[in-house]
Amino acid sequence: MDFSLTDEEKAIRDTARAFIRREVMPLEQEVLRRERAHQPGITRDELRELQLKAKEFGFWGLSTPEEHGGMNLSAVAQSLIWTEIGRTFVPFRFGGEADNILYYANESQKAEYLIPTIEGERISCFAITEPGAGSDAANIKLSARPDGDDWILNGEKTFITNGNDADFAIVVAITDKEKGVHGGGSTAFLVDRSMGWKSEWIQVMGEGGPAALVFDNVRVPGRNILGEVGQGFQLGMQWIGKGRYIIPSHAIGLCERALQMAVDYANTRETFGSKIASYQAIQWMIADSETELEAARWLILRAAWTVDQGMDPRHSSSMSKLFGARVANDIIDRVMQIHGGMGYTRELPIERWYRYVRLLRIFEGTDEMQRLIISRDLLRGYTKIGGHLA
Amino acid sequence: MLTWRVADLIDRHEPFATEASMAKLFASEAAVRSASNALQVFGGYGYVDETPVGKYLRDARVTTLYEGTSQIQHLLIGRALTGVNAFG
Ligand SMILES: Cc1cc2nc3c(=O)[nH]c(=O)nc-3n(C[C@H](O)[C@H](O)[C@H](O)COP(=O)(O)OP(=O)(O)OC[C@H]3O[C@@H](n4cnc5c(N)ncnc54)[C@H](O)[C@@H]3O)c2cc1C
Ligand SMILES: Cc1cc2nc3c(=O)[nH]c(=O)nc-3n(C[C@H](O)[C@H](O)[C@H](O)COP(=O)(O)OP(=O)(O)OC[C@H]3O[C@@H](n4cnc5c(N)ncnc54)[C@H](O)[C@@H]3O)c2cc1C
Repeated sequence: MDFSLTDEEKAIRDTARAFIRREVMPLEQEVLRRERAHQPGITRDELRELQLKAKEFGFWGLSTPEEHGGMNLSAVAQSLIWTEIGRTFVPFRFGGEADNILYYANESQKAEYLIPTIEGERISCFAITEPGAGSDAANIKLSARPDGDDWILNGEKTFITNGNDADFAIVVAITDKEKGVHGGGSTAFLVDRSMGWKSEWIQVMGEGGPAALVFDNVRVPGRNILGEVGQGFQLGMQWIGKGRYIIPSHAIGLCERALQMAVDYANTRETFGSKIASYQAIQWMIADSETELEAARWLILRAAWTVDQGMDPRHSSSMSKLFGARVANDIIDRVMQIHGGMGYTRELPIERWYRYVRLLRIFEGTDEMQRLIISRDLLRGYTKIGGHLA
Repeated sequence: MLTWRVADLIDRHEPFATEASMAKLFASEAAVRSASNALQVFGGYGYVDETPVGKYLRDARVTTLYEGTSQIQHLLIGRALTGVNAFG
């Protein structure tokens, strides 16, 4: 069994690491300062400037096909790069990407939505969650009623990431109440903000924050249907499923960084005449963290590998999301504990990570939903204990 | 219960330091655990500032740090029970 990276993977990982260290990490103190003053950590323009600089190093469109100017990386390589991104708390990501669901666009929609999103000229958001439908996403109510060649959208979406900045939304709506979402009653629409939806910022525990979107008789032309009528929910579930290993990949990066901070702190901080690193209470927290981090790392890389093999990644992705989110919460908690009172201050990024990682157990499928997926697939015999080795 | 026991000991003018450590350790860790569980029950709504559970978690978190961290409470209780000082 070979647990090493290929030369190519290593080269790309090292380049990403160097870029993050040289170009992004120097902004960290400023990000903390601005966030303490309730401002965004970095502005859209600053993000774009960084992304264009990264493009010069070849980092553009990690997941984007080559025909659209992207890198078309393997899932394993993407996972490794997201871990590098996670090492900084600057809200940075490489440019040149679009929501994968946008690849279902037809030719004219590609020109109008997909390409400008990849280029960073347009900003999208993906909206399925509603006030009455989160985990139970099949219970969405936002309705689309045909009117000539157009559709009229009415209802509300909530918790939509990027919802305040987006100039268009990918919205899953009910087009046939009788059929329901599983019977082909839902459809995805590309809806420009200029068509009339409104957004309102939702303040959350972490930095940034999603938005609530309100659709009050929003008229959408029929040519803005994404994919086929009746396919909306299914497209949405693919959107969520495909990238599920990305979230814990990112979390691994911040855990690596935070744990290193804890190790360094333990080796310098003294109480009762000794370095706190000499106390078992501290050593055990460090040992548990490192062990869980390693376990999560390989679970996540295995999920990414499963994607690259063309196998159904749902089971392994769910396990990596469930475990990765758990471990990230436990590790950041210990890192805070090791730092004592300092860990609770806003001078260090630890309390910021603490607030951020709590989200990982909620969005893109709560812990409980992941457990439901994992156990259901096992109980009905779709997956085997032992995975692909079984 | 542990906390009431400490209060009762104080009322009776009996020694209470170790019992207080136990109460502080247990209650502060339980507060963090409960707040985090409560947040999970609320799902996305627990993560929103309008719902107070997120604030409960942030407030609870400091209680395992100040007035003697959980690690220090363990040492205090251990010393009282065994007579061995494992601080330094
Ligand atoms: C910051 C943030 C960003 C988000 N971004 C987006 C986005 O871009 N697009 C989007 O569409 N959505 C987004 N969401 C929504 C997110 O996906 C939902 O919050 C999530 O799916 C949970 O739904 P809910 O909040 O309605 O909780 P609920 O579904 O109401 O769940 C409440 C609690 O009950 C549990 N529960 C529910 N059903 C069961 C069951 N059958 N068995 C056991 N336990 C159960 C849940 O696990 C949870 O603990 C975002 C949320 C947040 C907080
Ligand atoms: C919001 C807030 C309010 C506060 N209010 C007050 C106040 O009003 N008055 C006041 O005087 N102080 C106050 N404090 C300080 C607080 O009591 C200290 O932060 C706390 O005692 C921990 O000390 P420290 O931060 O120096 O951590 P350290 O003592 O440096 O501890 C670092 C880590 O090492 C562990 N550790 C230390 N020694 C040992 C050992 N021998 N064995 C095993 N593990 C060990 C600790 O448990 C911790 O995990 C406050 C702190 C905060 C965050």
